[in-house]
Amino acid sequence: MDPSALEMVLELRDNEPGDDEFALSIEVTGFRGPQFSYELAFVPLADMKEGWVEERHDGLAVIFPEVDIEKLDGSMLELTDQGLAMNNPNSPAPPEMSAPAGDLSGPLVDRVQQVLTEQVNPAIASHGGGAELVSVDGAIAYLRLFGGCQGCGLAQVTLKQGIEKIILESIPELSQVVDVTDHASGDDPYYQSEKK
Amino acid sequence: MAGFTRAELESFRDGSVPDLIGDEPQLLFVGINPGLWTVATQTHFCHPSNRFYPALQRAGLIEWEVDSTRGMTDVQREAFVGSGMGITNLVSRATARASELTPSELVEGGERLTRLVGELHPPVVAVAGVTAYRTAFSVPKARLGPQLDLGLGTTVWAVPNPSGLNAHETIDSLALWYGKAATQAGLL
Repeated sequence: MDPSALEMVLELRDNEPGDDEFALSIEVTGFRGPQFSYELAFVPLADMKEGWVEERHDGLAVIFPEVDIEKLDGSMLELTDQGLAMNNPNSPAPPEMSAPAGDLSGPLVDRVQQVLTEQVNPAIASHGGGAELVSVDGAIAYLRLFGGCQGCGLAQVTLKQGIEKIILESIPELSQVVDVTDHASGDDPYYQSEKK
Repeated sequence: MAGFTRAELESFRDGSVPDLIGDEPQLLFVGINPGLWTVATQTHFCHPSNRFYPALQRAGLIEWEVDSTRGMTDVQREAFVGSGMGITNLVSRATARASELTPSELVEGGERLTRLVGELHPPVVAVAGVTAYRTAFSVPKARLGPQLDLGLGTTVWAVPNPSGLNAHETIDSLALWYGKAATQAGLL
């Protein structure tokens, strides 16, 4: 825990009502994109469940499930001007991503293609990359990134902050853009996976 | 963090805070249930670490800050409902932590919300907390974003909870979600 995060969490904890000692519980609940997702909460230390371990950070008890030790190893809880953030060097095993067999016709698809051709691809071409539409299922568009985007650790950021934003703003019927790229392979990936 | 002592906060357990809703809400935010600090200040989402109002400000939906010790002023309440926003909760009973609620309380809260929406017809309802949303509406795999149409022209969104302990979201990412819901509601 970085000192400012610890200070903030201690202040929050000291405002928990009642007389019990409260611990910060951290649990890995799954993953979101390329990162684990977590649940942070204050729980009375006396209520710590079996199979959980306690770690002391100065005056703060931090508890987490034994099974999450590996996933949390080396993690740092940091305080940014945007709030608390987990900085975790570990990442979940990449999920098998697949897109539903999609129909690549119809006005919605044409509009996504048009946004990709006219707005997205010219912008990311300077990075040697590109994006293609795999399918549209309901309100979700599935994209595959290729060239320099493939395997790039920043691809998720590019997708979330750039590509998804442009597409969702242009096509309000869509609610989500999902990257189904296999980032560990490809002809010209950003990095070569060690497993290859 | 000036404010309330642990004993003072404890005295607000099981208290409540009235809905903040004007005549014709366009975007109705739904909290899970009030925290003790919220009851103490009678202001929804009020806590020194809660990022609800900073995110609304970042999204361009409000132009003022809420004093977390005093809560919203009357002028701010008027401005908030006057701009077409409203706030209610799935469950009205105050607890220190949302985990103290039972699943059946959340399901009842979902039913109450559906009735409220039937009376008010807001174009968009934004439930701040996808986990609570899943339980309240019995959709275990729901993800953030627009959900079902409740009929009567209302779209329900699941948006992230602004709690300071939600380490996934930043003020910017919260602002993005709230802004999306507000755009659909015609407020941006």
